[in-house]
Amino acid sequence: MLKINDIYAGYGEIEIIHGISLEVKEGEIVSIVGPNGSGKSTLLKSIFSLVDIMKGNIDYLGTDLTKLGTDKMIEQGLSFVPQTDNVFPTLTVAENLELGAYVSNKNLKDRFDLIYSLFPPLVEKRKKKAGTLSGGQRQMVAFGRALVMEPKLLLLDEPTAGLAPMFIDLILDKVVEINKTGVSILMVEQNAKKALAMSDRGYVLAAGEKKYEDSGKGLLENEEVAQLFLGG
Amino acid sequence: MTLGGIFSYLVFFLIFTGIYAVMTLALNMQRGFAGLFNIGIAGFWAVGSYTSAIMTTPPSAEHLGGYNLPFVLGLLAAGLVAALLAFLIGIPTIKLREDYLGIATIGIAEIIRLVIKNEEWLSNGVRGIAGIPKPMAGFLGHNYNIFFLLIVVLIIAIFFYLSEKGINSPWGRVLRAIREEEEVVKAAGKNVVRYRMEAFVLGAFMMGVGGALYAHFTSFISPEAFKPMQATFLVWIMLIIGGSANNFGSLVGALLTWGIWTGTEFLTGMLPAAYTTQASALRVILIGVFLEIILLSRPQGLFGEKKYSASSSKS
Amino acid sequence: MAVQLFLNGVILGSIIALGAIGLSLIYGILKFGHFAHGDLMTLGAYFAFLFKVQLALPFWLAFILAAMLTALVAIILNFVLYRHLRKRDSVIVMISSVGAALIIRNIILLFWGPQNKFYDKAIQMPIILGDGFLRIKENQIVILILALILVIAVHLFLTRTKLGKAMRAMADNIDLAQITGINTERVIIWTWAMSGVLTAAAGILLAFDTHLTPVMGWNLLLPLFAAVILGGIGSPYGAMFGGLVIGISQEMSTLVISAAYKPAVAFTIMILMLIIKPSGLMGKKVS
Repeated sequence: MLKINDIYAGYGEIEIIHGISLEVKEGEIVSIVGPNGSGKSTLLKSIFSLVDIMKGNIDYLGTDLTKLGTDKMIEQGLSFVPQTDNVFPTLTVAENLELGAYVSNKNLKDRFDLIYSLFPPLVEKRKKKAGTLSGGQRQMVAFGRALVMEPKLLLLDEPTAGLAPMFIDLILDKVVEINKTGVSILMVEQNAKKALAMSDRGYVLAAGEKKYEDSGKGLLENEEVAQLFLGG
Repeated sequence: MTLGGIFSYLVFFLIFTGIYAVMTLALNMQRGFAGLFNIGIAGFWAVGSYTSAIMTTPPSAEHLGGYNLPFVLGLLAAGLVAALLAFLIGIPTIKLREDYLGIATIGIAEIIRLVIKNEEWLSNGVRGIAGIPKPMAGFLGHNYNIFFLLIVVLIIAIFFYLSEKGINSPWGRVLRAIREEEEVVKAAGKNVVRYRMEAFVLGAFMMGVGGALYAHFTSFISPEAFKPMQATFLVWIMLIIGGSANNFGSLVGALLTWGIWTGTEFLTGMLPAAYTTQASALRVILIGVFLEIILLSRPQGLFGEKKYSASSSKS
Repeated sequence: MAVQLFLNGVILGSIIALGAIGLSLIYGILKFGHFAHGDLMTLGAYFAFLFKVQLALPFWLAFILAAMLTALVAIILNFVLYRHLRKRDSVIVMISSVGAALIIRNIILLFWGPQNKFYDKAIQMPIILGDGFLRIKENQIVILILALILVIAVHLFLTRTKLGKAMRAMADNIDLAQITGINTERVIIWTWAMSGVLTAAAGILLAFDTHLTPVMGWNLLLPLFAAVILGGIGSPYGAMFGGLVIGISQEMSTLVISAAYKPAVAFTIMILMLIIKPSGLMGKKVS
């Protein structure tokens, strides 16, 4: 459903991604892993036009994303969860979710119910300001906000960054659970082993270039990858 | 107008240009080199004016002092008191985002105006201080203004030289690096707040001296003598036209802006006398529109930022 | 005496609060201090003068027309100046707003002159309560009621409408708002419009309490900023609270210091806040 073709991207004059191609098929979980500074997040952001794209195109269900505004992307079922600062701290949990549906006018009651059933701890916090929640709960709000519009493809930028260990597995389990409802997932993740273990396929990046691509299992079993990128 | 008349008007014009040039060099130290946002220039100006007036006038019952000190000591004291004031404002605000400093400087300028207006023991209130001595006035007679112009030029030369010297020193390199990449400089273990504070205080010193020059030249100052926001605004226009972080540009910017400002006076002077208020309002509107056009169309000013030789990433 | 000053402070505070709400939202969303806000307030008051006195329209109509016209001016300022300068250094936008302030004030001087003006020349007899214990003018009661209605309207707008929530969201985190699909440019225009309306209302109420002068708004700029910083930049509720605190402190301060130094009170509170908690009482962290 998503095809990145030989993309070059970065900030202003600084090119960080030097020609990467990548694909996500319907229903898949795909992970992008690699060392710090390898350009994983930049690649993910380029899909949502959050960085400058110098060359290449991104095809999503037949349209070129590099020419689409954010509101149109969301209408077409694309959603992005940033790594940090991904909730509106002075708005309540319920308001955060409502804003997830900013571009639409349809009745969203069912969607909210679904999100609360996916993240039960949020139910009793719905009137609380998002800024007062714990890191794990904030991540749930961020996920919820991104899920309101019934996305077909969810982009996750390091969903476990900065979380307490007890929350890491919880959040990754939720990612699998969301995937089972029919949402394809493309995520960048620091916990490479955990991410690849749950992924259908994975890409290993280094210095802004693609080094390996294989099934999640394949990459985990690849000795070279293990030695170079997964810490032996 | 006779040739002599034109000449003496030119001298008069250049003295005012020069006083504003001192202010612009000072603002360039703060804003151009250190990125600091000071919109309370009038406050430092007034403090400089009053300090020097109090220091150099003969003893008077109407205000504090005077202490009958020489002109040079008056200038020095003006600079020091303005610098002290900058230091005090800087303590709570200089480590915060630039806009806080802006708001604080506007506030302090307003409070200084209130103090000068209300504390008669200090400043003789709204009646102001008159008879501020002009150095060597007794000897020089009617060509006095030429001499005063030389004093102004000398002060500009000193400040210009020191400013260039400072900005090309290791100190100046760190300062410029802070403006470009604050985080990198912090990571290198430099005390960013201290460097900023030093630039702010130095700039304020220069403004204080500029204010003193104004007081001695006009020999009368009062809270209503000049419009604070207008003065501050003119200095900013001068800086912006000249291009930030460019001392030479600052001087040209001062000349051009003061020229245009004076020019609008000629223009509105053609209106009948009954329209004086409207005329002065029109002048401010014109210069305001002029600034906005410059900001929109030529943000780097006429001369842009001067490229200083040594790279900032060393040190 | 103290009770009377407190009441005066509440009146002044409501006026400051109205002006500060818009200033705070603009500040939070666009990340710059809008130094023309005080003069926009003056402009609103003079627009109302134009409609009520010069064109002899009823007060309520003059109020609405002036508010709309001021909103329009705010939107024009955004379109002509701030929108273009925003992407650059914030100091440039702020200097541009200082320029706008001077231009507005002098346009007012040009058209209406420097003399004080009044919406109504008739002298109002204050209502005296409790044997001269408390005096309040009819106008002041109207001011308090109107300010209260406006504050409630703002509250409902910010919490019940999509647009209002989007404004608060943008003040919180503009990048996330963009990712969420909020049409940020459109919301910015509406924020200017709302600020314009509230600022005009503040100016009109101030002139209604006393009189109109070309510097009336400029003189309130420092209290406005103090209210915003006290409440926390970007927090409309903080601005309301901050406005009341500043207004009451300024009036009550005359118990201990000379009335000439009222503006210094706002400044002092602001500096204290910057030393103790720069993010304000209800704001998010300042970097």
